Amino acid sequence: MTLEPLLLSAKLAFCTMVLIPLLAFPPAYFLAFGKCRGKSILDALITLPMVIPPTVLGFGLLVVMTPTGAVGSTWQSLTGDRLIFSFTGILFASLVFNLPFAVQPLRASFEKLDKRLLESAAVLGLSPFQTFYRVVLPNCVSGIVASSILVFAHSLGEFGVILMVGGSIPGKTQVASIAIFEAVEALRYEDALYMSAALVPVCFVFLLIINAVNGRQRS
Amino acid sequence: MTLSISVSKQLETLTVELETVCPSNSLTAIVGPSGSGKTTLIRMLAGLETPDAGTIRCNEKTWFSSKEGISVPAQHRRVGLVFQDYTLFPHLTVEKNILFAAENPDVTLDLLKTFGITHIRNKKPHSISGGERQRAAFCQALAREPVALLLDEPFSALDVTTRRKLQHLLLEIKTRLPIPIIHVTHDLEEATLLGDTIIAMEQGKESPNWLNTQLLAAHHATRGNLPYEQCHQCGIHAQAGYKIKRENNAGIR
Repeated sequence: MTLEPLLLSAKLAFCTMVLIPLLAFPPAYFLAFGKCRGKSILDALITLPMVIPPTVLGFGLLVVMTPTGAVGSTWQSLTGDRLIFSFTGILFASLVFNLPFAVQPLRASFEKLDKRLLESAAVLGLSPFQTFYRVVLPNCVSGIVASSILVFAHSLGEFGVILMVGGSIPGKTQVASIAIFEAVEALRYEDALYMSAALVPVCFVFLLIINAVNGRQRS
Repeated sequence: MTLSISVSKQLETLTVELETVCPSNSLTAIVGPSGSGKTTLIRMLAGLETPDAGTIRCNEKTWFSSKEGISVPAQHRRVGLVFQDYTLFPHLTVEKNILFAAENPDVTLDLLKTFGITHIRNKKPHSISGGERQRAAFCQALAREPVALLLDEPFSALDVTTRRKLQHLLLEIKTRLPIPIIHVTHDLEEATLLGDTIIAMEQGKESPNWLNTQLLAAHHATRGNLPYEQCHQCGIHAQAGYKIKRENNAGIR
């Protein structure tokens, strides 16, 4: 058994976890504090990847990420590289797929924040951006941690979207879940068992951490 | 520093309307029952809500003018605001909460001393008492060296003893503040104790009738002892233009 798929899954999960706050904070903040009609539409759009089949999402991403698609052609003109069947490509897909898993806990955390703290910050002269990083972020640490860990654990188990966008190129796009699937198809049950046995406790520990963080937040 | 207010705002069930001038070194107490629009008024002055019509001017500077289309955001009004409940930032110590607002860090220590909370400077808000939290909130509001101090029922969540102490502390420091202070309360006794000018509000509008009814009710309830006659002893009387003005410094004890 090779460790490469497990390490690639960990790398993908880690990169997704680090990068997703950049994408998740603005919509989570807007959904929590915004006051306009477009809110429910944005909410539905962001939650969409959570409810549609991963293969459908993967197919949609594949269409836009090919060298002739909107995202793929832009990426290629900027970097000279193809987006599909690359690690960057599966990372992009992972960010889209995980967005609702990051936004929802963040939004819940922002909504729990006493709104008067934001008003107090405004009266004390803070701009909305200063209020965000000096008041909102420090008071929503547990929500941010919960969101990050959920995204990490969820990324470890990604299958359909990654398969559609990245295929199964060993060392490049073949993550653990795909390697397990292929091992089972090739009747290499022992390899599948070892990789599964390595993933389950990791996910379990991460879920325990989420529960602990949520428990702390509730108290 | 003078705050000139002439605003109106339509709420779901009532219209808040007020026209008054609040001079420096003076505390204007706005008193009235719950739901009379007092807090909405304070929020409009702070820039947290926008009036439908009218003007708010601080000296020569226009904060709001519906005719001129001016609405200065809360960030740029430089007011001090103390809320009914404690709104210190929970992730910061008392000292850092005050420093948060201070442009001149030297002010922080002076304020901590004035309000007698130097000993809790390194504690976080959740580990101090309600009275201490409200003292810290006053420090935070004053640390920005505001052009007006707005108080939204700052003592209503405190026990009687702590409330009394803080009321007297406010009486003491208000003489040193060269700014207008607007104090919203539903407690008539507090308004008469602290206010240089008292404005009664009911259903969103100035209401001398409400004030007279309340004074009379208290007068009867205490068999003629308090506080109606004491109000008169203090020189409180209804002025033309619906305002109640106390003409000397004696208060109701």
